[in-house]
Amino acid sequence: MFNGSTEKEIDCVLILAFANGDRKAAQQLTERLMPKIHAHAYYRLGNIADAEDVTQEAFLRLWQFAPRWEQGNAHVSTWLYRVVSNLCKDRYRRPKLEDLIVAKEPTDETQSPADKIDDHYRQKALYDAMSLLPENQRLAVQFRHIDELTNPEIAEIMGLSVEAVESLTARGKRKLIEVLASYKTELGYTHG
Amino acid sequence: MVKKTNPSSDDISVFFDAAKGTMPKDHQDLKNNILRDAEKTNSELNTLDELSVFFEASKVGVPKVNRDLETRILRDADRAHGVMNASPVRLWIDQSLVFLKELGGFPSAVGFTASLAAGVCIGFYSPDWSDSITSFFLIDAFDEVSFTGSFLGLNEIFEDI
Repeated sequence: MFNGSTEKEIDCVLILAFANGDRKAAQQLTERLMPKIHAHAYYRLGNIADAEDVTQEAFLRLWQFAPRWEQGNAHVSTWLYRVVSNLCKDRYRRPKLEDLIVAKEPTDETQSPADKIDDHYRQKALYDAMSLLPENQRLAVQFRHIDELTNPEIAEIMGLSVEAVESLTARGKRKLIEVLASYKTELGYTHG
Repeated sequence: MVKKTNPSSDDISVFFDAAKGTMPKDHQDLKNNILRDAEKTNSELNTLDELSVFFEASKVGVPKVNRDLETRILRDADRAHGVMNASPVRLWIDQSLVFLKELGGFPSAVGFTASLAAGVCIGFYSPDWSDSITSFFLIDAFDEVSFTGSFLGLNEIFEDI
C-alpha cells in the first residue's frame, strides 16, 4: 500500500483514512508518532506524567482536526510537534533534573553501568547547559539535534525562516560548546 | 554619418583582455569564498562532533512510552471517531447519558426523574389530597401577603424608633 511513499506521505494517508472512518489508521499513526512526540514533551517538561498528558492532548487535537485535514496541509508530524510545543510552553515549569536522570536510568539495558553513569552525567551537563540558552535557541537546538528534525521542518513549527532557524541553532551550539567545555575533562571526553 | 564597420579581431581582443584582467580577481574571490565556506563547514562539523556525544547521551535515555498512554490516545481517537460519524440524535443521547452518569448513575437518575414528575403533577393538578397535607403541616396555602400594610410588624418597630 505504501510502496514508494515517504514517511510523511504515509502519515498523511493515515490521517485521511482515519477521517474517513478507518479506526486502525489511528493505531498506526499513534504507533508511528507517539514515541517522538512523547520524547519531545518529556525533554521539555522533565516529567513523565506531564509529558504523557501533553502527548495525549496533542493527539486528541489531531483526532478532532482530522475531518478538516487536507492534502496540502503541513505534515502530520510537523503539525503535532507544533501543537505539543505550544502545549509544553503553556505548561512549562522548570523540570527537576533528578526526575529526568532517574527516569532514564532503566531504559537501555545493553549499556554497561559505567556507560550509564557517563551518559547520565552527559545528560545532566547538556540539560544544565541548554537551560542557560534563550528559549528560541534551546527549542531550535532540541528540534534539530535531539528530535532530529530538518531545518525546514523546524522553521515550519516555529514559524520562522530556515535562515533564522540556522542562525538560532548555530548560536545555541556555540553557547553550548562554551558552557560544556568545563565538563570535558570531568566526563572523560577528549575530542578536539 | 558614421560608417558601420565590422570590428577587427584587435578590437574584440580589447574586451577579451579586459575580461582576462578581471578573471584572476574573480577567481581569488571565489577561492576565498570556497575556503571560508569550507572552514565554516569544518568548524560547524567540529562543533557538532563535540556536542554529538552529549546529544546522543540525551537521546538514548528517553523513557519507554507507557502502554497505558497508547490506550488512552486510542480511546480518544474512538471517541472523536464516534463524534465525527454520529447523528445529532445519537449525540444528544450520548450527552444525556454522560449527564446522567455525572448525576450519580441510574438510581439517582430514577429518583431525580420521579421527584421531577411528582413536582410537575402537583403543580399542574393541585390534587385534592394536597389540602389534607397542607392542613397537617399547618400551612395556609392561600395566605396573602399585603405589600401595602405592615410587613412582619416592621412599620411599628420603625415608628417606635
